[in-house]
Amino acid sequence: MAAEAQVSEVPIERRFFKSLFSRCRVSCVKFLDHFIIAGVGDVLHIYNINTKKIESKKQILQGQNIYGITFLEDSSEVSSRAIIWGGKEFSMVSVSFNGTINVTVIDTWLDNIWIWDVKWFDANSFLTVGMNNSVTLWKCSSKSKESIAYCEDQCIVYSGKIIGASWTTCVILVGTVMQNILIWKPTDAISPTLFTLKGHKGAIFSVNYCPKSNLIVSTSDDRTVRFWKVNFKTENDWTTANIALTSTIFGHTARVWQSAILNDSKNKNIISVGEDGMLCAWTEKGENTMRKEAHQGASICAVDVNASAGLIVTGGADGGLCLWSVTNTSEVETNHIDFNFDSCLADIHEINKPQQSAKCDTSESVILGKELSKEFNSLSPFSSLSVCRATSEETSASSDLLKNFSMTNSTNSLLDGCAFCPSAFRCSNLKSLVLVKSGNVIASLDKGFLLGSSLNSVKWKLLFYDRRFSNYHLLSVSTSRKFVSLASICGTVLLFQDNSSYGTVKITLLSEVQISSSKIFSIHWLSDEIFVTCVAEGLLELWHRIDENDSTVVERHEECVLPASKERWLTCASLSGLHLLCGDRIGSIYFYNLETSMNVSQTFKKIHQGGVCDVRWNEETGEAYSIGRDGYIRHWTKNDDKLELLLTEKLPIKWPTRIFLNQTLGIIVHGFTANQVIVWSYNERKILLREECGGGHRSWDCILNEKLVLVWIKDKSVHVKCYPVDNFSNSVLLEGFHCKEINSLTVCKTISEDGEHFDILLTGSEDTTLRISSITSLNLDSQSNFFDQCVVRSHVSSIRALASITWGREETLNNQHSEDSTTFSSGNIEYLIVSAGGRAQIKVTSLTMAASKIKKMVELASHMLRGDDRSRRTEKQDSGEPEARYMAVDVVCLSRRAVFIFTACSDGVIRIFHFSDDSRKISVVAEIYYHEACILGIRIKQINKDDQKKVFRFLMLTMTTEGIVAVWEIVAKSSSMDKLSCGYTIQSPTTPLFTFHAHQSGINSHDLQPLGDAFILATGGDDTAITLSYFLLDEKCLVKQFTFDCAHEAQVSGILFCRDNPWIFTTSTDQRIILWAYTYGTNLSLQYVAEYQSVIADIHGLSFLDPFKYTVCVYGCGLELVTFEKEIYMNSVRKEEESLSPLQE
Amino acid sequence: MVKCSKDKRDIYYRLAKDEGWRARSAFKLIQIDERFNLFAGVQKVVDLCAAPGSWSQVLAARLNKNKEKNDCAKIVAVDLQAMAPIPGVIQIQGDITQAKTISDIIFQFNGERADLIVCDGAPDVTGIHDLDVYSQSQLLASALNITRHLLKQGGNFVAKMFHGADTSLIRSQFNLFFQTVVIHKPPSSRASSIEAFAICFNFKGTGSNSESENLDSSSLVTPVADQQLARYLQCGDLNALLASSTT
Repeated sequence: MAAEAQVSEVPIERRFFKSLFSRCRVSCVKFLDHFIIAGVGDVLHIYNINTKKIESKKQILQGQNIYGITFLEDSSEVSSRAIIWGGKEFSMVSVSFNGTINVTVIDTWLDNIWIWDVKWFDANSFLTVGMNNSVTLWKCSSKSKESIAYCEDQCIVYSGKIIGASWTTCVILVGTVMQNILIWKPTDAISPTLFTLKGHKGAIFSVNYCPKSNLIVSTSDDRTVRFWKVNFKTENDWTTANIALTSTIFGHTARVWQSAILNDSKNKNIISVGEDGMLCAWTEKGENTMRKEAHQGASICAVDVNASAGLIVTGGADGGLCLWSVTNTSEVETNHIDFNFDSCLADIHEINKPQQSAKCDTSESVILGKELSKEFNSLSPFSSLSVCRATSEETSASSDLLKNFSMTNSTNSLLDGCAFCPSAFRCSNLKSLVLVKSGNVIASLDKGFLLGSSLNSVKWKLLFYDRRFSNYHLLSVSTSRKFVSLASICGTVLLFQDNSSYGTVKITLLSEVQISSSKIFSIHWLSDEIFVTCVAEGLLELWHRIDENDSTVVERHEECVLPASKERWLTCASLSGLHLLCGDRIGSIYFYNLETSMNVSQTFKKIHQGGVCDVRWNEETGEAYSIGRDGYIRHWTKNDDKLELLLTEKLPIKWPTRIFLNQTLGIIVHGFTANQVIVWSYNERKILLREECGGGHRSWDCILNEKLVLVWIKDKSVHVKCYPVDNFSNSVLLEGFHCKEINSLTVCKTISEDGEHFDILLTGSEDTTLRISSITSLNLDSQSNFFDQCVVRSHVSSIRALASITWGREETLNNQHSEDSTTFSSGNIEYLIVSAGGRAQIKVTSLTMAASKIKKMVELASHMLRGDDRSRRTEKQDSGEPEARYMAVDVVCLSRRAVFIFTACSDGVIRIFHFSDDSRKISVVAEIYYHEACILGIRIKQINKDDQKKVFRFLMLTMTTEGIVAVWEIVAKSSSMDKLSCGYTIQSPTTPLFTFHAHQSGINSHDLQPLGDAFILATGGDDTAITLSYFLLDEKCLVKQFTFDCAHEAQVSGILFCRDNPWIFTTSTDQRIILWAYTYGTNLSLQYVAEYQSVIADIHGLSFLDPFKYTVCVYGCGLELVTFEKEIYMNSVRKEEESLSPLQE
Repeated sequence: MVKCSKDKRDIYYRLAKDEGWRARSAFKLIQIDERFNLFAGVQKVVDLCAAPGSWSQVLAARLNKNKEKNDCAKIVAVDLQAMAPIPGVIQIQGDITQAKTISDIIFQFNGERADLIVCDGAPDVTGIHDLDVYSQSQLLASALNITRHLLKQGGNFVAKMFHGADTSLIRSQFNLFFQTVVIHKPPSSRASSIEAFAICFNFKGTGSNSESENLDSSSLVTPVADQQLARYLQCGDLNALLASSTT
């Protein structure tokens, strides 16, 4: 039987369905010339490396993920052949290059074993390795199996690799679940194992071999990458070879899926990718040369390398496709500038030999104070302007020490060099650091010294000294880092300019300002011209630096007052026009409109609990970002001179410290977690850099332009790290999507000014994010038709349910779930989105769309049943009991001030919430304790309304894991007395009108079809059945019911009624979409019409994108848009009838 | 790594800790037995892919409750890995695809065949959905194969399976060897998981030539497409706790 090939056509009936678009994991990537070929589900994507744009898409293995592509090597330049395989299926395709690339399917096979590797032997034959540790030789011409060989060790293998190009010379490497790598040759029907490589402590997910370096690379479940060296006695004779384990690398924090070997004259690297979302590169000795976070931390499924171009391509479980460069990874510059001046002291002496010409006018000179002069054996030189106002006796006491220094003749007050006694410096400590524009670092010492050094030097140069700045001083730098200020406890600010040229550090004192008579609490530069100071009584003053001829003056322009608080000074400030945004130690954010008032215009009290660390305006967009010790980033917008909070997102950084707006990288957050400094990209949501530095309590500075430069003080020396920004950027060929299953999906419609319709998909996922994406063209062949608009990451747990209503126009408010696109006019449409999920969290967000773009998005309210984490910590009420989850949600909007949210909870309680646009608060209005099992579904349907009395009646359906449907009546009455619900009260019943049994167990999906007074409820259950229940509300009973058992092979997770035809779409975990026809006359019945096999795994639901074109979207591990081609179906039915009718006659 | 949101501490997890089961999966077997009364009169039972041993614990607790030592049912647990000993359970460390394992088990039963075989084994789950479903079906095929050599005529078999794109194939395979096959998801199995259990009653007996077949699923007869679908039956009493419940 074995030799009899079970070759068959792909059996899935797909005639009546057409796939429009899909987003799912990238399961295979391959370089081909200057193209990248990627398998995204069952669709082959082809990208051009140069343009980084998609060239074409083609559905290949229908309904089966593509796991590999093998090209016929000795092919001509204009065309080639390839095998594209996945699971048990494979297709032979012809690939032609003609400026672009064109793929045509020639043949498709279906084997009965899972295929791990395919290798061409010649143009007519290829070999496959199967999961049962066998190899099969296939003939293209006859589409048959030529020979089959099994390894004597018959076991399940989780990876395979074919080496060699003919049946007699080939060698098979397989990785077993039994932790071994087996090497064998197909010599007999049952062939002996040549080698068993032991070492891995888990299943082996990939084996790879590099013939150039004779290296086997294996990756495993045990989180290791292992290198094995093959020593041949005679060349390529595996039977006599000797194989030894050379390296075991623990570099990943989770399973390692794949490896790729980069080996040519330029690059020698082994690349590994894993479940931890890390892309690592190793030398042959096992040293790490690269470690990058990719694909939002989701599993990286596929990797390929192009050695000559030095490129890596990765495909992730998030559906993203990224291109990386291997060449620029090793250019990190590291330096330590010790604060040990012994070494450079001689240097300073050298430079500063006593110069007779130096002018030593004691009346102008400044002398060190007594206490200092005791510490110093020799003196530093200084000049007139930056002087301590020394007393005459100090002068005389110190005059004898003035023999060993030089003094600059320059009019500025800076020191060009000096000589110090080492012991004096040992008493001083490095206090703070700033990086300046020239690429140098300026440090202040606690005794009032300024030092400078270039980043690659090991020596400090003394730049300046002023005793007034000893102990307390504030060193800060302007936004472009050209100007440095030094503020004192007695209200003085000195302004310096960075005048360094290459290799030398030089600063010039521009000006001295007496800001106040008392301590300066804070000083922040708002630009290169303006800085803001904060002095006693919360007085904020904006100072402008003005260049007049050769001198610089500083003038006070605006002033304002900080509201009274415990710690009344600024920790950060940013200015846009005359809009000042600042934050303080207690975590409040203040917004000033300096044009109109010196008083604060808006205060967001303690919004960043623990202190605001940085605020930053984005001048281009008028938006702002703030970060704080609470570990959150907040996104703000300026709207009619009002600051409005758009989004809040948790950072992967405990102590964020600075926000950068970078040209290449976008919004970057710098901060610290424990002893590490972390650089994180807001746009990509990934950690770009993680470096041990000792933690955020140290003095540090950081700049980000073409380079990322980090400096920090540790062990009395300044540590420097420079990274080229290119290190952090990668080319995204395909944007990632959700990292985990999509639990819920809702569709919003928009219309542009030109009348073009757009679909906006909102998806809530197990990965805790809500994504908003727009679809512009419903066509698989179009190059790009899906755009990620926004990712909301504010939920603390998974998002399980979503509901949306149009919001803003009273007349349309009552038409919840309105899918009738004609009711919308063009222009901006505002939607109210309710998202709910794990940890009993519910959020209300307002989304304003202008055509396919987001105009505005504001989180209006958030609610957690047991309070948020912060209040819970303080109240110590966390009992350790798991919280309820919201399984489903529905929403009713009676007015902007009366939005009622109905939730189905896992603890069996139906909770009804009220939300009002005025208070922007969600509050519980009713809890119905009726069900004793988890409620899986809830549905609200308005049945009538009395406008006069303002009474609304609603039908509510709840469905549980017990298979019970409960039918409820909910009445909302107008009562202006009740303030809470702003005019409406919900009368919540304690018992339902009636209940009925629909399924043996959980009801996963439902849809409701009203038929006059009656309703048909279609439900899909865990028991694989579909049930139609026909009930009359007035008679409070179930009239008739019909159950179709085994409608699917797994739990039915999605069900939808068509609008204009008695049809139902269902879907299930078995990945099928089935169309049924139903009747409801005397009897209910269900009849199979057509089905489609989707590539999306673990389907969670089904939604209409366009009910009139029968376009549905299935979602689970990704999403797919499928349309039922009604015309083709109708024609085929007609033809069938015609062919049958003569027979009947 | 991606933020994980799944609340692992569900009701069965905590119950398992309370009652001393090694894993929450113990409840699945208990609930299956409550529904189908599988343990009645069982004297010889095999637990395939037993580690960490929660199903063996259930078997030992249920079958040997209030029984004299010499009256006890024989429980043989087979796994590749060693596991901590369980009183009243004989452990065999071996591969279920090897003939030696079969003879070792039969030896324990004094040459007789088993009344009941259970298998809660799962492959190394990769998260790659179609691969997991496929490898589970391979494991199931191996379990079915060894079952054909171990189970007495009329005996019963319980095995874990994953719902996937081609579950019908596996079901049909079971139907070839058993009179009745029921696919069942006990309430303690998470609603979100693709796991289900095939409960096969009344083993038809071993065919004459089966001994020579290799232990590979491809040797099993590929069933015709229109083979009857296994019926789904919800079991457990409806008051039983459900996995999605949190209180």
